[in-house]
Amino acid sequence: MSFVPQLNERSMNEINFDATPEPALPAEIPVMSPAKSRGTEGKEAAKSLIEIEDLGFSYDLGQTETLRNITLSIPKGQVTSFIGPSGCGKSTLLRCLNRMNDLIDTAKVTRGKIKIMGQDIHAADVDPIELRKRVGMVFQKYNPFPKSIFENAAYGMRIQGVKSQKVLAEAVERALKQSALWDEVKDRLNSSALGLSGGQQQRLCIARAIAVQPEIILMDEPCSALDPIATARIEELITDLKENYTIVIVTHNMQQATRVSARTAFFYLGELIEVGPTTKIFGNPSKKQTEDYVSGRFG
Amino acid sequence: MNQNRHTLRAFDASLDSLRSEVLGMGAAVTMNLERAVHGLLMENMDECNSVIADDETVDQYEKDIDVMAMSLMVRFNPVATDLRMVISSMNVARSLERISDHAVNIARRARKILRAGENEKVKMVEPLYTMAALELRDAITAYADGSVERALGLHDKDAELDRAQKKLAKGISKLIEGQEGNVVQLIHLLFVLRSLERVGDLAVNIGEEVVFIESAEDIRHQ
Repeated sequence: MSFVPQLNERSMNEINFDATPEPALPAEIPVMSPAKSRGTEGKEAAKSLIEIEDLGFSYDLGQTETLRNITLSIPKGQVTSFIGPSGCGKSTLLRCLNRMNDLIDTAKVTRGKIKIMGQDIHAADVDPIELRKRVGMVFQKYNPFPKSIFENAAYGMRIQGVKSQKVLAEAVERALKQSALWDEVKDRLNSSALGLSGGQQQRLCIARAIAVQPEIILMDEPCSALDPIATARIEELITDLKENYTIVIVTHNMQQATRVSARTAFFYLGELIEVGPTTKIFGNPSKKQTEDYVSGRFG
Repeated sequence: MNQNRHTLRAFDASLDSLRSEVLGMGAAVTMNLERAVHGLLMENMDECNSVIADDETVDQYEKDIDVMAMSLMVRFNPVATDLRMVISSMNVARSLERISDHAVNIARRARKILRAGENEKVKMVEPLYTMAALELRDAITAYADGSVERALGLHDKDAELDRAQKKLAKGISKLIEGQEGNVVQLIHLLFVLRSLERVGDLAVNIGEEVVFIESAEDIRHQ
């Protein structure tokens, strides 16, 4: 008598990624029904603050498009992560959101619109400088000015023409507290910002960005030059800041995206492949390209 | 199952090892169940004893799989299908360990039945065992192949097994009520039938894990 079942051989053949193109994507991927999901449900969609509609962007006056057909809603009061391999266009899109790319002569939005609170940011009556007050930015490499801690945090206010020392002091204190730096620097506000540690310098840059009370903060790999402790502080700060600001973060660190963001958008070769709740993108993405990227099967 | 390989080959190797370990455990559990029933039907006390002794091997498999899965999560931070694979492999190991416990229960009951002398009623165990073993085989094959279809088919097979078990248990209960035959032997036999029915349930649980791995759908308790 032998009842031992014979197990079938498993096929582990590789599939050629390029041979299975995916169809065009809707902007929003529906969230799985909670009743049918195990740990993959996401937060309810919040009110949209930024609307990107069929955006195309070129660095060479439209000869080649770096971004194509980007349609995306970014909700208010949440952290949204942009992920994707190098060259996929995520930083380019981030810089489109406050028209930083305008500083490049040959850069051009080839089609589509970006609306912030319903207003087209490329409309003739929009001043890019005013836009950048509303949409602050923190860069990959912390870049404080060679000035005092106080002057760094007050810089944006001074540019805006604020002269009152009292107003400046209050704004600096508020910004440094919001960026979780106040307790560490309150006794040496007149010291050089360059004497701070890397993590502190990056938090000072965040303080500089939020001192002018923007609505949106863009962060381009803000922790890539920091150690794990400083990274954790910045991530904690991002979590605190989302109460008052809408944050868009570009990151290559996917664990960081899962820790800090409610929504994640995956880009590849200048196109938005998939966007949805972070738990869905990392738990059960709808597109195979997304799954291959987040699980390390890419390239 | 996502068949594209990871950029990190060590990640693939770890996942393959985990999968192989679960399949090795599945084979050991299948063998234990087979020997427990074989020992009962062939009146082979030694076989029953070896099932009880070999349960330690299965327990060790379960612990090893947990260690491998934890190490894999720490080293590679799996997400999506990979994460479901790791978590569900631990759950599959848990179900397999419980099936082995039922094999031990059967072996213990078999020893008691055999010690009390011959009883032709033990033959009614064979068809029920065949159904339970087929379910277990399908569950393990579904896990190995990532076959949702095979996994979903387990529900119907288990319903059939439940019906058969109820019918047989009813027949034995009547014999017990009528004091026909060795009542103590018949009571042990009832527990053997119950264990085989539980094996079917646990095979269904394994199938549910396979569905979760492959489609992220949670079909438990439906």
